Amino acid sequence: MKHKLQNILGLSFQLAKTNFKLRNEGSYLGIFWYLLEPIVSFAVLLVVGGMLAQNTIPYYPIYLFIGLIMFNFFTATTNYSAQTIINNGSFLKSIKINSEVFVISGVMQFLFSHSFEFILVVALGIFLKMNILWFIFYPVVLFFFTLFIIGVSFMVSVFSVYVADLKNVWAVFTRLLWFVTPIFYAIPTNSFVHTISMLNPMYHFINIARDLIIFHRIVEINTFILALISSILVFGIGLFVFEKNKSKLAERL
Amino acid sequence: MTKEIIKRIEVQNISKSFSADCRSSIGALSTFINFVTFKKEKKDIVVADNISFDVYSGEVLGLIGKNGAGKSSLLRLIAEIYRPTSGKIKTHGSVVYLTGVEQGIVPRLTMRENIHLMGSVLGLSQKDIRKKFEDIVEFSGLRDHVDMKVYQFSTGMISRLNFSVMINCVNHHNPDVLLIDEVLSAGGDADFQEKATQKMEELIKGGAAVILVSHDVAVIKKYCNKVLWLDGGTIKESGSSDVIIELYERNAPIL
Repeated sequence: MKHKLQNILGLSFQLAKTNFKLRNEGSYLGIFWYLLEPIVSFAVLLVVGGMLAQNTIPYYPIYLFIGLIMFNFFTATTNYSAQTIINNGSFLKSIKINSEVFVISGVMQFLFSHSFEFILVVALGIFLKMNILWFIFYPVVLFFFTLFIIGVSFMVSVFSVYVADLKNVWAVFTRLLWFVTPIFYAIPTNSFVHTISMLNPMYHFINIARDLIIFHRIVEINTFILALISSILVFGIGLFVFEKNKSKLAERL
Repeated sequence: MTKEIIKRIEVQNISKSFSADCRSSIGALSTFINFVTFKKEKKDIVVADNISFDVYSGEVLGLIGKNGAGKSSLLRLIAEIYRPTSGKIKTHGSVVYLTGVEQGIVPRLTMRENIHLMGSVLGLSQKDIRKKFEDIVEFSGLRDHVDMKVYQFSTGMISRLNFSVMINCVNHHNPDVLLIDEVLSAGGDADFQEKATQKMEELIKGGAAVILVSHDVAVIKKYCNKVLWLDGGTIKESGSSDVIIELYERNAPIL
């Protein structure tokens, strides 16, 4: 069991490294291309957000950037997972391979780029003369957030084999979720939208991270514990669904 | 024979059928509609029907039959890539399954990176790959091109790289059960072909239980002691290779 886990993680890391390399292969600017997209959306939204009336959010650039990169991590990973099993079909059919690696390597790959983006957030924090100390708690949030993403990725990757155009459906769904999640705006409490947002896990994860980093506090302990438990639960369910179905994946491709 | 003869592959009454979707679309909408209306349009395709046989260590079993007779599916069942619908398959020892697919060569990476990637995909740790690296490069005869990107390689060079990595990784696993699906010829020039065939022979005669799928009757004749002739997912004939191949050739003359 331990050996198998080691195998999966080792191979996933190799695949993630390869994909990472391939994405900016043949370009001197390399890593810059990863950061360009989040930086551009950040800049655009900063301008838009600045124009919103009564923008009283403190440290708005940090507020925005954290929301943006966390949501990006989720979108990029799950959309990748919605295609990875299909794209690696010939592999799955011709080698006895732990199919988990195709999902895990995707998560790892986007975890790399997420880390780079987070460094940018820290740099921005320094620039805004924030108390940097609180940034070091982010990895704890990230750990549970990643568990959540792995769980969702496992589920999406399995369903993508059974439903051919799931990747399109998922792309639209994540886009909608992006607008519903308060990334460049804040939801006034006591509003109807706020009640609905309570059902949005992305809202909670982003909120916890922001509360930590900007307001130096942990959200109500109930919410916090609920988020942790649900991330573990989603991970467990995702893993269960995947393990249950993985022997049937090869013959459906 | 000083080596102990062990039963390596046990196949007992296995059957396998695929439920083939006959719907024109398996998209989200049609899946939803079919779910709501309880509509099922499925047809079973039987690729293995009540097949039983054993293979012992040191034995080479040949599988012959027309396209679609269920040869590759049978290998995948033994390699545990597919699950049988019913019946039992047991293998003892390490299993290696080889297919003709060029397993994951990435053209935009260098040969060095490709060796590391393919090695990991074939189940080697980074440490093992580093150990094997020299052997692989040596065998491929592409030492001058180690840091060149593979998309600049000729077809022959790619076959060389592919075969070298494969054979070295397989040797590393020291397989007890070897399943070979049409990958006896290595491609490349005559020199390399000869070297590759020799390696392959060593591997096949190395004492593992081997199942060989090939359309090349001469190859089957050369290596196999026993032959199964598959037709439509069932065993049509089985027995010593000379007898079965004669029957097969009479029945399905090669044009």
